[in-house]
Amino acid sequence: MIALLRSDVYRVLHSRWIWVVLALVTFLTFAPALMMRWTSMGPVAFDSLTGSALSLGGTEILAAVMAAIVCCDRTDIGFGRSVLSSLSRGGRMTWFAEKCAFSVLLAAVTLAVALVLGLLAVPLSGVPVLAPEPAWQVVVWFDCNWLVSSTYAVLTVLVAHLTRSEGVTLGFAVLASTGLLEGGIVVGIDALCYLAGGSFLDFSSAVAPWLPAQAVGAISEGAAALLSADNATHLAPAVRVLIVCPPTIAATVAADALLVSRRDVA
Amino acid sequence: MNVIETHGLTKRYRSKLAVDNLDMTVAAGDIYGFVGKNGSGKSTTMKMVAGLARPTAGEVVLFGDPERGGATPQGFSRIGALIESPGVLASLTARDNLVAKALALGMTHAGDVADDLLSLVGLDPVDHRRVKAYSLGMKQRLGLALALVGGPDLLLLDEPFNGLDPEATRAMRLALVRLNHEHGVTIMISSHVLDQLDRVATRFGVISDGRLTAEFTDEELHERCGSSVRVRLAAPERGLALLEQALPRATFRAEPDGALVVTGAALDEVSSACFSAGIEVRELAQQERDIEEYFVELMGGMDDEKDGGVR
Repeated sequence: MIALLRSDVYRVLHSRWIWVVLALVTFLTFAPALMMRWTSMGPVAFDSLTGSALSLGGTEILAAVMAAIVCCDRTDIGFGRSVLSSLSRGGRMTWFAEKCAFSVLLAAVTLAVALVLGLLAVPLSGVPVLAPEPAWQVVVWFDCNWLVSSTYAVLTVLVAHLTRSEGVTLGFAVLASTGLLEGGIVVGIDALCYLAGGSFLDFSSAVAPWLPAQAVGAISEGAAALLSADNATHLAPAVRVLIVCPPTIAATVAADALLVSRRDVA
Repeated sequence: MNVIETHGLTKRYRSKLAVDNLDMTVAAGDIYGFVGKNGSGKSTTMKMVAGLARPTAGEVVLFGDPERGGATPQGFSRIGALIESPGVLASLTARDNLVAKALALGMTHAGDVADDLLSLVGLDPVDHRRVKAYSLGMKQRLGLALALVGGPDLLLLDEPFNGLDPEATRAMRLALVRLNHEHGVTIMISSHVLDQLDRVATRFGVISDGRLTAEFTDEELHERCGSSVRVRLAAPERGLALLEQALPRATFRAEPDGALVVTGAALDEVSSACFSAGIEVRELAQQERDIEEYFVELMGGMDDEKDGGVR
């Protein structure tokens, strides 16, 4: 597993796209901060660190898209075939699990880079933060973001290995991480329930709070919102993330390593 | 020791039977030429041997080890494969491709391994171009280098001569022979380029419609395809017995029309033997049998030649 991870780290660091992504994230973080400083436009003060000063919005999309790029890098399946033919049966299962593990690590690194750049950009903007959260709340906020991003990333890896199609995988990565897929599925089930004689929106009102897309909304509101229990479930979104995301990640990795690895390699 | 043994190997894709009850043996040190038309099951067989496809029935025994297939305790197989496409990461350089694979196999000094293999296949280790700028022939050579990472004992090469110019073809051929002779690597090559295959292979297997129709050595091939004498006798059975006595070093093969094909004897020797034994000769002619023609015959006739099945 470590050898396979080292190999993936090497090939990602020697690819151009990762540096393009880094440049893009740097630009999108510093450009608004510099605009605020030079033009004095923007807020007089940030209310909190995680709610308004730092923004990791969109990193879950980035994590999923990067997972898609890693697994579908043009002729990657050809390269994968070359590596897989040099691995034993057990080694092949490890290869599939490693792709999931790598996407989880890539999500963590992406978030960490975005966080560090954000922390550098806040003083650069010259806008004060009125009530910065304690460090532990920032850590919880970061970890929740990581778990949600990792969920979308490993699901993308699974879709990549199942479909072996770059187009389908990238499409899934974007639709899933923006919440459109979850919303569509839930509304579809709602419609079916309605057609079967049930009430419209019963299903979605019960399920929606548990969806990762809802957690993304809470994360964007900041650590305080993430740690406050809501009326629907009486649980904080951070707790729901803990209940939903790790089992989903574990189940996806298991399906990829134990089931998908048994399929013929194209 | 047999490096590859397949027993009743079968692969079915929905309604299509790609490989049908295939029994094949590749001994250690062989360069095994695997010949067949397009869609005859060559690539599918190689994928099953490489463990990339699961047989529907039957088994593949590698290195005489049915359980682990000769895999190392570290979880690596002893196989290097180049199947269907070179399998390169187009957005990286050739060296980066090799380093990435060497790292995946847990090798230390991955950079040195990459440089050595690039030199072996005739690519420049300091070429900083991305692989997407390479010609097909260069990608094929890189594919071979990738298959060689980890020092495999068995090399599976599917159409390795595709896209190579004559110079590169020769370099590839010499590299394969060197790997076989100097490093003892057993090689299984499928190819449509029969004249190239004929120059390297020590044994041949012919597959047609998923079934192995013939297996023979290089010597046997040349016995069957070299210069020979075709003779049609009035009494073929008696004539054959008398000719076998008169020409003990020659080999005889009966043709469907009743004629005998004699190899290992000159036309005048056969003629004298017939005259001395008092055999009535109805036809006597020198003939050359083309290797390509012979393979086409074994692969199931000329029907697919029109489709570009055989070059």
